[in-house]
Amino acid sequence: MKVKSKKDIHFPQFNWGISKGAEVELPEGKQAQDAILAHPHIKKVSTKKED
Amino acid sequence: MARVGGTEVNVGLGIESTAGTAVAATVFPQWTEFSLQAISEKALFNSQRGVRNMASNSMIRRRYSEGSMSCIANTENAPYLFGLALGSVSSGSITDSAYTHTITVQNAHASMKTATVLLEQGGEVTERFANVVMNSLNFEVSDNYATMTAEMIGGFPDTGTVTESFTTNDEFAYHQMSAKFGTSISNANGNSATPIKSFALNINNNVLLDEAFLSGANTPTAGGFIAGRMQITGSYSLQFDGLAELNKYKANTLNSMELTFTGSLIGSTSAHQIIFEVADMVLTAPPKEISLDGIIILTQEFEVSFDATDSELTVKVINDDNGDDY
Repeated sequence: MKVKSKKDIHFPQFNWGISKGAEVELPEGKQAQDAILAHPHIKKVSTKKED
Repeated sequence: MARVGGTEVNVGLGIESTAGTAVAATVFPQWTEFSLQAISEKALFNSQRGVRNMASNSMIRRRYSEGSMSCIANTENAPYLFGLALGSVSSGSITDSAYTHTITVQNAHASMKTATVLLEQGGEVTERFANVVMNSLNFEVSDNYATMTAEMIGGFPDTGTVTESFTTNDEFAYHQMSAKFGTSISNANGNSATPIKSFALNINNNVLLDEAFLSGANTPTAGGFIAGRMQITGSYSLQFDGLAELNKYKANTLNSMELTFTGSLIGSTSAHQIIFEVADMVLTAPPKEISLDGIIILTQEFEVSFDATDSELTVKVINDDNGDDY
């Protein structure tokens, strides 16, 4: 699953970070994914096709 | 257990909706100094016992927490610290991709805004401090970064979990600062900026610590920290280049200040900003400092007086965080 961020954010516990505007794959592991997705500035990238 | 380096101490902070009910952290201040910790205050039993040694028993008199945290001011952490210090935060709706958070004094003594502070120490121990109030907040800037130092008092810690995340922000410094003076906030807003050398502001809530401990427990009651009388003091300094500034002190002239820190753009025109609207600053100390090897500097110490129109102090923070997480 890819995510996008409004800001540069770093999660040291998961050795994972994302730059503002970039689309990045989430790291493996439910704990890491849940924590990252809970961040208010990180959103899933929609894979839905537009009509 | 492994030894823990200072930089492995991660601090998280969340605003409580019910005082004393712990919440998850929503901001992770990148602290420069930190000392908040559990206080287990002892009382020694020093009564007669037939021996010379003074103490023959002890008890825990009070359990709470106390300490401070310093960090560089940015638009992510400022609403939290000033919100806790002043007590009322009103967040506007989105305009030009930006949100304005207006922070003002909450005057009810017994309704202090509270926070939960989580402290993760090298992944080994996590302490959770709920019911934390801001006893005082100090803001200082001269020729470097702008520093905020929060003196906190709170509940006795239990344990919790925290997943820290660090955001890159505009960390404000003196060169992003603009100061305008006038006889009121609106008058100052319309005036040209005056170059200043430094600015300091202290908000002291004078929390009534003794009132938080009542019968039945040696820990503070939830929401039990009551604000005392608020005192806002500070100082600013500038180069002496005429009598106008000096005369404000001599004549007790109405003296208000709009101090703005401006960072990067958020929308087309809106930018990350912290704006201090300091109402009637009563200048309290003789300001002139004459240096043989330098120039004359005026350091104006002030105490803020309530003003019917401008109140006492309003802090506005403009950022890209909505009101849910400032």
